[in-house]
Amino acid sequence: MKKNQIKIFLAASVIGLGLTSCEDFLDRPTEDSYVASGYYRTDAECIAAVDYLYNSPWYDFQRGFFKVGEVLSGNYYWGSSPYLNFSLNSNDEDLRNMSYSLWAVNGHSNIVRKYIEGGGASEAVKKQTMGECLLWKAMAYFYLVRTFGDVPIVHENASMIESGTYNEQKKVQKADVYEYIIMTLEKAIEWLPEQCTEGRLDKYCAKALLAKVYLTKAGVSGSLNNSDLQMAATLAKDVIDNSGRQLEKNYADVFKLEGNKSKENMIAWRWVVSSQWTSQNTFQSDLGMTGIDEYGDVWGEWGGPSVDLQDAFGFNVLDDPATRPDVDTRRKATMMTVGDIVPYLWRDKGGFDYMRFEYDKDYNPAAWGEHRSPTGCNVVKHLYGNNTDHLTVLGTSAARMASSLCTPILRLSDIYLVFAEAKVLQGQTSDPDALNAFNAVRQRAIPNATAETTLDFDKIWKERRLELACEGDRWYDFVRLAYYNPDRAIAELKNQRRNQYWNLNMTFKNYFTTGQWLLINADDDGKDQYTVYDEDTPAPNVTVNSFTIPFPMEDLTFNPHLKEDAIHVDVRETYQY
Amino acid sequence: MNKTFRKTALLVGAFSLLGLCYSPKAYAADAVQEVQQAKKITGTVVDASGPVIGASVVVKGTANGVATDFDGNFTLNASPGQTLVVSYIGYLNKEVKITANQTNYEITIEEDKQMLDEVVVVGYGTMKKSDLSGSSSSINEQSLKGTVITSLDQSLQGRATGVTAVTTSGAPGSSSSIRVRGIGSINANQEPLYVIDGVIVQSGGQSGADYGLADRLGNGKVSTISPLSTLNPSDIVSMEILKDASATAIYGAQGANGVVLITTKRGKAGEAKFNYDGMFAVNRQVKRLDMMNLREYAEYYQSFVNDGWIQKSQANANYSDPSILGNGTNWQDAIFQTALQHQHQVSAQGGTDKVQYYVSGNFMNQEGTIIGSNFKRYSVRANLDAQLKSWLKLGMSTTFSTTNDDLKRADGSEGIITYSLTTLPDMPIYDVFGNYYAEVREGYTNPNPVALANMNQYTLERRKLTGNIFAEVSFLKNLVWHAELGYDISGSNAETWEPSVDLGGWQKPANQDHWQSNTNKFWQLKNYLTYTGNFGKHNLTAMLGQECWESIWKYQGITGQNLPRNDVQNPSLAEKADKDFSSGFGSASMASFFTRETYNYDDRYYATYTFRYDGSSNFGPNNRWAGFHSVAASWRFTNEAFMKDQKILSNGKIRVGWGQTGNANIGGYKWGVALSVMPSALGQSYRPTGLPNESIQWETQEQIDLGLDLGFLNNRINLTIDWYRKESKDMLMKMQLPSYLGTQGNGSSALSAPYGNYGTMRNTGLEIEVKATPVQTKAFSWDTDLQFSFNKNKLVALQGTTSAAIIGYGQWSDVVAVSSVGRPMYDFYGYEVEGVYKDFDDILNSPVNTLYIQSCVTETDENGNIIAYRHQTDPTKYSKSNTVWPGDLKFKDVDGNGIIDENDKTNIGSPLPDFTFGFTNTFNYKNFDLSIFINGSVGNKVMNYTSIPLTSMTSTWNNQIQEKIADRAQLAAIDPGKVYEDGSMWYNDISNVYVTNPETKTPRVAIGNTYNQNISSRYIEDGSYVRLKNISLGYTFPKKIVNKLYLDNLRIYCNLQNVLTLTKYDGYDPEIGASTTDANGYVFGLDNGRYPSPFTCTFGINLSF
Repeated sequence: MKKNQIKIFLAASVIGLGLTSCEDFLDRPTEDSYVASGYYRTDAECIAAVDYLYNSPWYDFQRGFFKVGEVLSGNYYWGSSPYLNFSLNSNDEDLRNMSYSLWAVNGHSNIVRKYIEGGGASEAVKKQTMGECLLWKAMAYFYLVRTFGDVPIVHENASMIESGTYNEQKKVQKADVYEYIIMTLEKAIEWLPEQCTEGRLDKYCAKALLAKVYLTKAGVSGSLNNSDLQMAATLAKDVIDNSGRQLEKNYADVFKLEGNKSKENMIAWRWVVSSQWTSQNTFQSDLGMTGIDEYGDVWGEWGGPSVDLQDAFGFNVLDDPATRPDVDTRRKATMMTVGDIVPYLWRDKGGFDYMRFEYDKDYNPAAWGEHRSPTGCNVVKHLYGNNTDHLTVLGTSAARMASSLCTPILRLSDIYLVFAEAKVLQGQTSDPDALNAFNAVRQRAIPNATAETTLDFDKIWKERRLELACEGDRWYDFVRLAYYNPDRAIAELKNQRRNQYWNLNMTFKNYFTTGQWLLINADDDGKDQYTVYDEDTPAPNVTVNSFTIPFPMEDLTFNPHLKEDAIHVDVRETYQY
Repeated sequence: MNKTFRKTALLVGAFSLLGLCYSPKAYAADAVQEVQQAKKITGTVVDASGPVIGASVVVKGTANGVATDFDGNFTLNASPGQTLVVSYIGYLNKEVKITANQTNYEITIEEDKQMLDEVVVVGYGTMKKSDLSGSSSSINEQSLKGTVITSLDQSLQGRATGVTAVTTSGAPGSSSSIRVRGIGSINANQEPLYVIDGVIVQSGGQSGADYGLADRLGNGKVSTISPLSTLNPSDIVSMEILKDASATAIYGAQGANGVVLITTKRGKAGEAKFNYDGMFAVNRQVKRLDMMNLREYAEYYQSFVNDGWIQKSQANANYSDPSILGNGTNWQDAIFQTALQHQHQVSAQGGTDKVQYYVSGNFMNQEGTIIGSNFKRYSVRANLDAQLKSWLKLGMSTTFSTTNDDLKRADGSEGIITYSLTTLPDMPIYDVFGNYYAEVREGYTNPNPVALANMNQYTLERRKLTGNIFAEVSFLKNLVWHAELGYDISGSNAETWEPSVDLGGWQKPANQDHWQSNTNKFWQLKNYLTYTGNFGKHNLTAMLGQECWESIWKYQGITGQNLPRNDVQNPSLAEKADKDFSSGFGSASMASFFTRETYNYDDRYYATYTFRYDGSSNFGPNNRWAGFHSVAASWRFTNEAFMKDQKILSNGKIRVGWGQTGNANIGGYKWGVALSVMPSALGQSYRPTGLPNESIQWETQEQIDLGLDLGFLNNRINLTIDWYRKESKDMLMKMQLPSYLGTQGNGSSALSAPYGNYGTMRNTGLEIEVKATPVQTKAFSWDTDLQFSFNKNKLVALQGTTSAAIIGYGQWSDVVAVSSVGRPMYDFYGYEVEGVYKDFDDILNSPVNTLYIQSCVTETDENGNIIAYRHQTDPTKYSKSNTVWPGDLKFKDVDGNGIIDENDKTNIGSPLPDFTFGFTNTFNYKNFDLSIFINGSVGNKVMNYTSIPLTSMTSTWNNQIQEKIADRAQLAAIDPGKVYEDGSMWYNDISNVYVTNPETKTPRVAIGNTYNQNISSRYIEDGSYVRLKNISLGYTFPKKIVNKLYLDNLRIYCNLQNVLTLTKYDGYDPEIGASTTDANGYVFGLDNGRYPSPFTCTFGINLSF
C-alpha cells in the first residue's frame, strides 16, 4: 500500500516539478564553515584544532581564578565579596562560571583529542597535539580537584551522553582524581615533544605540572607521603636542569606585554583580541583602575592587594613614600600606590603615575580627585595599560574588555619553589640544590638578599606568597597545606589582616596637594576622622570545610548523586589513553 | 444549479464571488435561452447598508441569470410566474416571484447569521464551514476592524478560542507570543505557522542577534522585533486558525504549533472603488511605580546611618535633613513620552467579469512610549485575478513592504526601564551646561537613562517582497489542477551605534558602529489536483498534491571601533586595526506529498482523511522523511429525520478527530558538528561547536479532539465546545546536561549540548465559545461573543534520565524556573517565604539556616565531611553583615529536616493561566456602532524580577519602591539602655535586636546582603487580570449626506485600547510573554523590565468613493 502511494506521489511530483533528486535537494550540512567530519586531515589542521585550548574555554574561569586564588586566600581585598568573608555558596555566579569553564576545557580536550586520533595528521603532530589536549585536561582537573574536592571523572563526553549515564555520575575521591591527573600527565609527557615553538606546551611543561601535582597530592591522605614528595622533587629537578628555560633577569619582565614571549611562562593562557568573544584577556576590567584604558571597560579600583599581603612584603602604605622600606622588587611588579610610577604602563605619558592618575587632571583629564582603593594599593599584574601600550608592544589594538596579554598559570620559579618544598617536607632542609633553587628565586627579587643556608617550610611558604602574589595560586597553597595540617591553614587565614583602611584619601590627597607626607592618624576614639585600619570587621569563620568549595547548584539539581559520598575508582583500570 | 456552482466556487477560493465563475456562462446562456412571454425585468438588490454589487440573480430552474452591477441594479428577461433567486455569499438566498404587472423589483437580502455556508480556507483549498470536521477558529474582517493593530499577530488575542496571545513588549510594532492550544513543545520555537495566501511566511528571525543587533535587545531567543510587523494588517480579509490535528495535519511537519491561514483582500467586478482609511492615535503610559522621591530617599539613606551601616562621618550630609529636600528627578516621567501614531491606507479595487484587481498602499508611523523608540512601515499590494479561458484561471498576489524600527533596550538589568527605576532622584537629567548628567559613586555608575535612550541607536530596516502566482486548470468539470509558485524575498539592514561618551563620571572613550545586512530568498512550488464528485447523497472531494520549498540566507556585517568623531556613522571611518567583518550563508529545504479526502453523506455524516509525507533538510540521511495521518468524522444530528420536528435546535453537530503533526523546527545540521573560528595567540583555530546527535529526528504530536456545535433559535445563539488532548513525543530540545559535560557557560567557549528527541508533553484543554445576537431590531442590534479557553499543560517525561529538569534563567545564570516531570512547564523555582526572623530566640528556635554558613556550627566525621549542622548559640559569633540576623527572611524548611539549604527550593508558582477569556459585545444603533472587548487571564503567576533590585535595600545607590520599603523589617533595641563597655552599639548585638513589625514579609536593610535576594515567593505575584482591551465607537454617515459629497461610504470612529486593567500585580503590566533575557527560552511570565503596553486613543476615518 505504502509503496503504491509513494509511486502515485512521485508521479504527481514529476508532473509539477520534475525534481531530479529529492535526497540531493534535502542534503544540506552547514555550508559556510568547516564540519568536523571533514577536518583534522593534515598537520596544519590538527595544530589549528588545538590552538584555542590555550584561551577560549578558559575564558569564563578568569574571575573565579582571581577570586578563589587571591581573594579567598587573603591576598586581595574585594569589598563585600563572599570570597572575602567566606560566605560563598553554590549559587555564586563566579563559582558557577569557573565550574563551567573548567569542565568546558575538559570537554573540548576530550573531543578534539578523539577527532585528532581518528584524523590524518602525521604521527608526530598527532602525538604533539593530543599531548597538548591531555596537558590542558590535566590542568583543568588540577584546578577542579583543588577547588571542589571530590569531583566526577568525565573521560569521554560523547559516550557518556550517548549512554545516558550523565546524571548517574558519582563524585570520585580526591586521591583517585589525583591518580587520574597523574596518568593523564604521564601520557602527555610521553607524547609531547622535547621542545616546541614559542608559547606552545612541551614535555617539560607537563613534567612541571606533574611535579606540582605530586607535591599537592602528597598530603591528600591527611599525612605527607614521602614517595610523592620524592616524585615531585625528581620531576622538578628534571625541569630545572633540562627544560632549557631560565628565570627572567628582572621579575617584572614576565608580566609586561613583552612577557608574552618569556620562556619562564611554562603554562600560560594565550589570549588574543579578536571579534570572537572569549578569545581575549579581560583581567584589566576587573582589576584595573577606571580610566586606565580607552574603552570604558574598567572598574577594578575598589579592590586592591590586601593589607596582609602588603605586610608580607614588609611594606606599608601608611609610611612616607620617600622613606618607606621597600626592598622586594616584586612588590612594585605586583601592586602600586602613591609614589609609584609603573614604567611599562602608559608608556606614552612616561609611565603610569599612580598618584597623578588619581588626582592630577593635567596628567589624567578623567582623574577622580580622590583615592579609591580601600587598601591603598591597586594591582599591577594582569594590566596592559592603554591602547598605545598594546599597540606599541604587540602591534595590534586592544578592545573593550579585551587584551592579548598572556596569563601565566605555571611559571618556572614556581617549580623552583616546588622543588625546595618537596625537599624540605622530606626533611632535607639544607639540600644544596634546594638552596640553590630557593636562593635563585629570592635573590632575583631582592638583589642584596643574603643567601639562605638552611630552609624550613615557613620560608618557602612565605616566599611562594611573594613570588606568586596575585597570580591566582595562593588559595591552592592553603588547600595543599590543609590536606595534612588544616589547623595551621585555618589559624593563618583567621589571623590575616583582611580588612580595609578608613579615610586613606585624607592622607593621600594631602600628600598630593602639599607634597608633604602627613599621616592623618590619631588614637582610636576618632577613627571616623582619621586614616586607620578597620579593626571592627571580625575575622571570617574559617573551618576545615572552607577548603572544599561547594558545587554549583544546578548540577546538584540535575544530579542528586553529587550530594552522596565520593566513591573509590581504580582509575588506571577504568580509563586508558 | 445553485449547489453546483457553489461547489465550483469552493474550489476557486473563498475570495471569489459566486457570480464570477458563473456569470460568464450565464451571459452566454442568456442569448440562446428560449423564454415564453419573456419580458424585461429590472431591479435593485440591497442589504441593510445599501446596494449589493455582484449579487447573483437567477431565474429559478434555468441557467438564466446575471450579476448586479455597481449600483446593485440588474436587468434580465423572465416571465411572470417564474421565480428570481438572489444569492450572495454570506447572505440568505431570497426568492421573489415575478408577477404580471411588476417589472421593477427592489429586493432586500439579509445576512446569513448561521454562517453555516461560510466558505473557509483550510490549506490547499477551501471548504464550507459546515462541512468541517476539524477544529478551527475564524477571525473576519469585521472583528479586525474593531481594534487598532500594528502587527497582525496582535489581533489574535482573545478573538479565537484555544489561542493565547501575549504581547512580548509594548514597544511599537513588537511581537506577540502566540500559543495554539498550550505549549506544544519544549523547543523554543512554539509559534504557529503563518501562511498568507498560500505562502509560508518567512520570519527572518525573532531575536536581535538574527539581524546583527547582537545582544542589544537582550539575550533571549525572542526580542521585541516581530517578524509579522512587516505585513500590513489592513489588507487582511480573514484569518483562520487551524487548531486540531485533523485540520493542521495537511501541513504535516510544520503544523505542530497550529497554523494561521491569512487571506488578503481581492478585487470584485465592477467600477473602480476607492477606499481611504486614516487614523491618528495617542499612546501613553498611565501607570508609574511608586519609587522613592528625593525626600523619601533621604529618609531611607538615614536609616542606613542609624542602623550602623554607614559611619556617621562618611555619611552624605546632603541627606541629613530630608524635610528641606524637594521631589528630585522622576526618571520614569523622563523616559516615558506621549507618543503619536498615524496610519494612512489608500486602496482601489474593481475589474470586469474576467479580470479583477485590488491594489493598496499603506503608511504607518508609530512612536514608542519610551523616548527614542519608533516604528514605520510602508507597504503596497497588488492582487489580480483573471479568468483567461472558461477552463483556466490565473491569479497573483504581490506585496512589498519596508519597515524602519528605532529599537531600545527596554528590559533586562541594562535596560532603560530598570535604569529609570534604579537611578536615584537626586541626579538631574542635565547638568548646568545642558549636558547629560552622570556621576560615579563608590564605583557605581548608573548610566543616565535619558542619555542611554537618546545616544545609543539600534535601528533595523527590513524589506520584504512576497507573493505568489497561480494557475487553475479545470481539466474536467470536477477536476481542477492548481499550480502555484510562491516567493518571499526579504532583506534587512541593522545598525548598532554607540557613540563615545564623556560625561564626567560616565566615560566610554571608544565609539562603535556595526552594520549588518541580511538577505533571504524563499521559494515554494506546489501542485495539487482536486476532484469533486456528487453521487446522489454522497459528496466526495479528493485532493492530491506535492510541495517543495527552499530557503537561502546570507549575511555580512562590518564593525568599526574608535571612529574619530561621533557625527558621521560609518564603520569605514575607523582605522584598519579597528575594523572587523563577519559573513555567513546557508539554506534549508523541504519536500512534501499530501492528500486529503473528504466525504459527506446527505449533510448528515462527514469524514476527512489527511496524509502528508515530509522530507526536511534539518535531519540526517536516515531520518529525513516522515508521514503524518489524520482522520476526523462528524455527525449533524439536526439533519436527521427525528430532529425535524423540534424548533429549538437549529444546528447540532458532533465532531471527533485524531491526527498527527510534526515539528522540525530546530535549524540545520544538528546531526553533525560544524567548526567555528576561534583565534588564539598561537594562530587561528577552528573549534567544534558542540556534540552531535546523528539519530536526531522529527518531533511528533498526536491530538484527539471532540467537538460539539449547537445552534439555537435559528442560530441566534451558537455554542461551540471543543475538548482536546494533545501529546507531543520525541520533543526536540537541547539536552539539559550537568555542567561537568562542558556544555554550559559562554556560548563561544562551552560546547553546545546536542539536540535530541527527549521529552513528552501533554496539553489537555477545553474551549467554549458562545456567540449570540440577543437583540435584533431594525434600528438596534446587539451581538455578543464570549470565549473561554482552558488548558492544562504537563511535562510527562524526559527520557534517558531519572531526574532531569529543564532550567530557566533570569538575567544571566540565576535559576528562576525549573520545569520538572509531572508538572506544567515553567514552574518558578525558589524558596517559600514564611516571614522574617523576629529576634535571636526566633532564629534559634527555627531550622538551622545553612545559607549563612557562619551562623552554623558543623559536626564532621573523621573524613571531614559534614554530618550535622547546629545553631551557633554564642551571640558574639553573629554579625549583621554575614550571618543570619533578625529581620532576615525566614524560608520554609520544605523537606522538614531541620535545615534550611538548597534542597528547600521548591515550586513557587506557575506562570501558566488556568484559563483565558475574551468577551466581545457589538452594538449597532442606527448609524452608530459600538464594540467593547474585554479579555483576561486567570490563575497565572508572574515573577516580578524587576523588583529584585528595587526592593533589595542592600546599597544606597539604587532607588527603591517606596511602598515596599515602608513595609521593611524595622529593627530596634530590646534593651535600649544596655551599656557596652567596648563602645559597641546595640545594632551589632544580635541578642539585643528585635523586629518591631514582626508580621512583615519584607526583610531588613543590609548593605551587601545577598541572602534576602534569593529567588523566593517574595517575588511571585498573582498575574491574573481582566482588561478592558478595546472600546470602539463608530458613526457611519447616512447615504444621503455621503452621496452629496460624492462618496459611497463615510465612517468615523474613536478607539480606546488598554483602557483599564484590573489586577493585583504590582509591576507595570501583568501581561508578560516569553522572556527576552533568558537565552535558553525556558522561562515564561518573568517581568524583567518589560516595555509596558500603552493606553492608546485613536481617531479614524474610513471613506470610499
